[in-house]
Amino acid sequence: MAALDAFQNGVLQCEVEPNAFDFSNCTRNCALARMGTAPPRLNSTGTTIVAVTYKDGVVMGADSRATAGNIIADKHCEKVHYITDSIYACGAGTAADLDQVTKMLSSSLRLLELNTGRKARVITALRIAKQHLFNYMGYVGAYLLIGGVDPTGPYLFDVSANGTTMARPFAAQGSGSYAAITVLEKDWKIGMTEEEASKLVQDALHAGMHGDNASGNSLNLVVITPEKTIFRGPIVPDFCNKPEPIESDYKFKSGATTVLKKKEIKYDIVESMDMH
Amino acid sequence: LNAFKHDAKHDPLGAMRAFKAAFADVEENPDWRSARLIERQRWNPYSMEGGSTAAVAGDNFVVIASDTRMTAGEINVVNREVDKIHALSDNIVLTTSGFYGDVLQMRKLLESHLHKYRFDYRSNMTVDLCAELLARNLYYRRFFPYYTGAILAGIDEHGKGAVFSYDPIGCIERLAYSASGAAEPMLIPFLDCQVGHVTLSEGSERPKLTLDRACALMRDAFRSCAEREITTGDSIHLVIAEAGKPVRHERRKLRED
Repeated sequence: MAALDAFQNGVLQCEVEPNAFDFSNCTRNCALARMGTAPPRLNSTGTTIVAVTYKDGVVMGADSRATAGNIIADKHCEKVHYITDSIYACGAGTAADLDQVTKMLSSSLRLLELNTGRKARVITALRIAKQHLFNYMGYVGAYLLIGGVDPTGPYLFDVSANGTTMARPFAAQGSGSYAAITVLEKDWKIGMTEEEASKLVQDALHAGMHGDNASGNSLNLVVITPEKTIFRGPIVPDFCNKPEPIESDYKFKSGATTVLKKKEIKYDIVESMDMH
Repeated sequence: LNAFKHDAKHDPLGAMRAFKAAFADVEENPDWRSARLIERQRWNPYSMEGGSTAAVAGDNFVVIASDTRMTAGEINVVNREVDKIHALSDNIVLTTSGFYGDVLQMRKLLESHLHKYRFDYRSNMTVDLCAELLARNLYYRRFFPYYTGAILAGIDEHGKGAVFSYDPIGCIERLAYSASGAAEPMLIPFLDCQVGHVTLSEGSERPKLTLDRACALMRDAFRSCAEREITTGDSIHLVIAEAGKPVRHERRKLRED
């Protein structure tokens, strides 16, 4: 009876607050945990994400590895998320949280653009993200680098899961950020060109992908300027290639699998659609 | 936690009863309302350095392989050229994964035992004796174990390849092939398929396990593991022990990301 009430309460809450999270499974999950069931592992993008502002715009990049504990769950994960044509967000943290938060940002900003008739600003994206994440006190594990160009100029912001934000000239986030930030701190300077900024982002990502186990495989870049946005990727650095291919051929000859049962079903063709 | 144990195999309805009991318990004392016991962060004497290793025994040879990456806390690479395979003599090779401090200690222990055996009996210890010795040494530390997944490989007295696999406290088993370390769950099924032929039907022709085939399988196994396991990579270290020949080493590059 108590279980039914809890379920019904959960359902009612869904109807009352359509934008809130549904907590009706919490009791059940706790009970399962007490019975000894292991909780599921969340896919997290142990990551390297890097962004750099230069003379005219912003260059942002990310690796493409998603890990579940120590196993690589996805080798080609998209971490550079589209927000608007001139605003992109790179995300590190829990993969599902990042997808949902960036989709939410993208649709909110599009609605805003339609309602106001003006291009959305990067600071708006930042504010929406910050207010959403602070609301959940860091439990929505999204660590974003929001960068782009709007009518007031190029911007780069760094948002943490608990709602801290900062404006930065260059930034790195994720488990590989320690390695990446060393490259950025050494080589970033004011007034870089697009080629220099691109190369700096790639070098920083290489450092992260090389030294951090949870980053790697390939990298994606996006270059945002007032006139255009260019998406480049996937780029595979040399140390991410397999130095030697697989040597043997792992094919099974026919007859390798024992056939236990065979069933033949005869059917008549009543009508056929032959397209010549 | 034990109040809700149920025997899933023999008592399927018991699972439902246990769940209902657990559910009622949570409603009375939910995790989010009761005073949380904050477990003090105690110092952990062990740490895992990552990486994996495997061994395959043939008719008159044994092939042992490992990667050469050492990591700190699964994330940072500390060393890209670490030796995890230790050739203790021409017919005994020890390979381990797990806590590297215990790996080094275990190796020193075995080396000194082998040295003393040579002094006492004027001949080299055989792999079967060394296997039993390692099992006992691991069990001596039953209550503060060597945190390693050890594999002892070599050529036995009859000239055949031998692989002995251990758990951290010395449960010994002689097998045709074994693996240990972070990528063990990926290596064992691969070896089961290609060396143990568990998936082949009874009448199928089984390819002969030659030295070349064993080496190729080990290299391919580690290349696949480096694709999907984050602490395995950098390079493959292969050690080949054949009856009547000195031990041979081979190294190949692996991906470094």
